[in-house]
Amino acid sequence: MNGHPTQELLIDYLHGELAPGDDAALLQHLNGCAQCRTRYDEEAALTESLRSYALATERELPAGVRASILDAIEAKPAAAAPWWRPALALPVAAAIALAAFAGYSASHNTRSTMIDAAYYLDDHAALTSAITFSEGNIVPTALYRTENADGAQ
Amino acid sequence: MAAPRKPFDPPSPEQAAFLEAAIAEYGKATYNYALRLTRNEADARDLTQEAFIRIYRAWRSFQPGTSFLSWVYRIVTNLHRDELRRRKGRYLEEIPEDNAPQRFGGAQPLATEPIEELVERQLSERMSKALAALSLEQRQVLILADIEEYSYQEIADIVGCSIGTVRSRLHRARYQLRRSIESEPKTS
Repeated sequence: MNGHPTQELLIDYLHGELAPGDDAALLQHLNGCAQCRTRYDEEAALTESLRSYALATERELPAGVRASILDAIEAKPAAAAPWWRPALALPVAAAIALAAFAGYSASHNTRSTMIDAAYYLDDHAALTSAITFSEGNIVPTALYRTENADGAQ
Repeated sequence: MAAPRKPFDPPSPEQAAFLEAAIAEYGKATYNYALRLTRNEADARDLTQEAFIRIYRAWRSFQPGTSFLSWVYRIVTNLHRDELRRRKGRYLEEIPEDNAPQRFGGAQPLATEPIEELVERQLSERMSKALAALSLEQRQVLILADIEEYSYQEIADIVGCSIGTVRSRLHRARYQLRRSIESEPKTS
């Protein structure tokens, strides 16, 4: 080994990360160099402090963790959901509202069509009739019905 | 970690036995690793729980003959990183005072504490602060290299980076750790 090892090399040596040849060379250097031996011992002491700290602060697995894990993976069949739960109640309410609207629209449109048809029929009869309505004339059915109803009173 | 999850299929007896054995054997080590990463008991509990749920879901993907604990640590490391990203780097800080390690006797009065324990406790506090001052990446590598005694290659696999990155992070972490400890005033 040429010269003194870098701090990085000492750390790698400490962690057993040097190639066998480099490892042997550094060991030989440390045996003959008090200064580098001290640097190495300081690095080793730091690692030792870390391990002591880890040991001193080590904790047991909290009792609840194991139970939580097992609970989480335990497949529990989904309980029948009450109908009023928001997740169900909202779609149901939406479906009811939609059905009510559709029903109302359908009936409203039907009635509207009937009225419109009667209106156009009456309108057509009035416009196309060249003769003033009288008892002797043929009265269009739609009007006849109306007149009949009026006449009934 | 509170993301909604699809319900699991019922565990087979084989799966249940695998999970039970894994928790019994590696639960403590996993929790302590999570605790050192997060420095917070609640987060460490969540992280440990989530890790074992992942293990349960992926238990068939574990290769017999490889290090199971390395696999667990990789899962914890990834989960922690993901959670940090999700929280944008903010984890709960500090381990609560009322849950001190039992070895130091919790709230034992200083006057009755043996001098060795007092010194040890002060050293531990300095180390704790020095570790907290490291970046997460540095702390990960330092824990894995010096406490868990993994090789650089194993750490690279766990953390998901190159050996060169492991080496440089470790060197910087140790340099910074020593500086922090030395700069910390020694209280008597």
